[in-house]
Amino acid sequence: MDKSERTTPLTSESAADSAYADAHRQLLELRALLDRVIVGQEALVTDLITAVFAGGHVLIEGLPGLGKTHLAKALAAALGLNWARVQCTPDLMPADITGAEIYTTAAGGASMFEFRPGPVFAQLVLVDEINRATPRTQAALLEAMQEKQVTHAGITHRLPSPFCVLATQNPIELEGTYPLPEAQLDRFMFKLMVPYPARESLRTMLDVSLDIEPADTLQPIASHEDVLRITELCRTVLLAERCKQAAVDLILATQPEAGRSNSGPRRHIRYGASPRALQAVVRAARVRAVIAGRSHVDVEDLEGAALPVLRHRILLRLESELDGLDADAALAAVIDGWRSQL
Amino acid sequence: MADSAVRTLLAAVRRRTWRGEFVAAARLALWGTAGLMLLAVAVHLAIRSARVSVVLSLIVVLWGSMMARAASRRPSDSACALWADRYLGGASAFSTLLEMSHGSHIVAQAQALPWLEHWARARVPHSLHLLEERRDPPRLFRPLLSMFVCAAFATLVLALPNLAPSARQERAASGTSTSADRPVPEAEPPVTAELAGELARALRTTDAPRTSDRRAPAAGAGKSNRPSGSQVAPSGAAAPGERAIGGKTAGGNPVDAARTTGTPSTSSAGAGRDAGDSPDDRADTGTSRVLRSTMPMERRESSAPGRSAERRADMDQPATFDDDLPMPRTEVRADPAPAAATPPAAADTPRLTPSQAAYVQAWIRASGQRR
Repeated sequence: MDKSERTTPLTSESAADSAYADAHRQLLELRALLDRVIVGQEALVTDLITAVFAGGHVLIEGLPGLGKTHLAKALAAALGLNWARVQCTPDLMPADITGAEIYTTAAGGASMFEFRPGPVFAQLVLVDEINRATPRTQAALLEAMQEKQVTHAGITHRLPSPFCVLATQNPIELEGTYPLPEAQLDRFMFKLMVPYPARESLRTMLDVSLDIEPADTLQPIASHEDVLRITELCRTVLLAERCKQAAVDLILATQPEAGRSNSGPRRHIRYGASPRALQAVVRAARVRAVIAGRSHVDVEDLEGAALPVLRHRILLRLESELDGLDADAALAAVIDGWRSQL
Repeated sequence: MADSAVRTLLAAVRRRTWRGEFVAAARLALWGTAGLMLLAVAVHLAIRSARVSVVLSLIVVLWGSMMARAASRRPSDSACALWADRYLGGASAFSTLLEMSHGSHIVAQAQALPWLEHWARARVPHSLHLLEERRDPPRLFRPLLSMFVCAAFATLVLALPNLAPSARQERAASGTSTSADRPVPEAEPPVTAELAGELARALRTTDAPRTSDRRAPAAGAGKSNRPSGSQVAPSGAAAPGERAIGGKTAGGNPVDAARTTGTPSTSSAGAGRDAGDSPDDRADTGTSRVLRSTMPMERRESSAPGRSAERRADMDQPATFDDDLPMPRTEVRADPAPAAATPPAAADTPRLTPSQAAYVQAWIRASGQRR
């Protein structure tokens, strides 16, 4: 049976009014819209939608010119979210992101300090080349991502909801950069790789985005209320005991000291995924289930969410890295082994 | 909570999987039957005649246990749901629905469950269609063929009861064969020991008078403290004549006796005791010749007076060594410090007697411990 049969939307009249059916329809429409704007990146678009509706943040890694910023703009426009962009440089200060208090004089002559929120107070924040910011600035941003609030001068300011950070980084030109530490990488729910488009996709791009910027012309198909509603709905997706066990097994399969012998693919892994990764996998699997038109999680949903959730949460052994193995290859072997045992 | 459509699917899956259990049990029973027949043939050929009734009863027990095992493994609802999820495109819907319908979980998601039921109900016709299309070959051909081949072979062999070795033995025991035809046991240690003892006693009785006669002159030179019976050599020892000659030749000269038998000279220095009477005598320390074959010696150029000058003058002549010359006996006798005992030379006695061999072993062991 092909996958399309299993993800066919249900059109029964009794279920037409279901919230799951609406969410499923809206997510499919959003994906189709983004696929038209970002040509040839279907998997990337699906993963991005999954992360946004799972309430996570995304780290996008890709070469310059592959459409990372374009994708973020299109997503914000399609969802009707306000968005902000931060171009990271080594002299970027934390206050440039979180905001600062400035001394103002009111019309009546009264002077006071007023908090001017930074770009982090947007619903969708695009942080370009995050690895060029200093660790101090990175820490301020990542703290806001985790706590979803900013404390300044003793006053706590809540960030808007939904709140999603799309950070990009360049895998080349690492000179003068500050790579994100493992603890801060763990704050990102997904790490997405932007592949180079195929030939046909390149050809289609000429028709779509040669003279116009498609993201600027997008009309929103949802509102931020819809985003919040679908996000809440995804948290009600059923998770059977078998799928819970499978998710735990998946995370344990990345641990080199999980009680089993370090044979097979896990011998390449020095540090495995954290419990936060387990939560991220299940949340992402729930959104994927809704995208597939289901109100229950399948093992395939876990499998589909595994790679983007885990690829930045494991550390390979030095010997394996010297052998040319990367995290994706090691995780692919781990996932294959995990799936064969189910 | 699972509606009738899902129940229908689970029932169909149960029939399918349960039938698969019976087929698997039959496959195992066929292999087991073939193995039992081969075992019966082996028992029939190797040990004793196998009864056909026993073999048949074992086969019946095997089949009965296999069928009972398959009957007891009736697939549960959860197993059927899991099977349907895996192979019939259920996408975990059936197992999730069954789990939620059991009420073991508090369903807080009021919207999720109706949608799940709806999803599963809509999936049932497609799953039933897949179930009908699914073909699981029983894979009974090879075990069936093996069982038939083994059955034919077993029938052929069991029909020939005379092949059993017990039958052959019974026939041989009851027949007219003589005792010479009976198989001789390979080794009977007690009987052999008795025969050896008898043979040794016979040899002692025949050797004793001759030995005492031949030792009479030696006894005249010196009296032995031992009774005559104790001087009898053990069976397998060196020839009595050899020792008698040694005794005669020595004639009170213990060095000659030692040279003849290879024993230390002090062992026979006592009045009239023959060398080699017992291993204890040979183990006594005493002066002995350094034998070429048993102890490494430093070969020096001969320093004999009167000859060395000539040899030095003619360098073309080959050099001679001290050990090429006969050793003066007086020096050996006059040596006050007794040298270490050496075993008998292999060149003098090509075949060691047991007592000599025991002595050599003891000497080697003692030398090893000293080192």
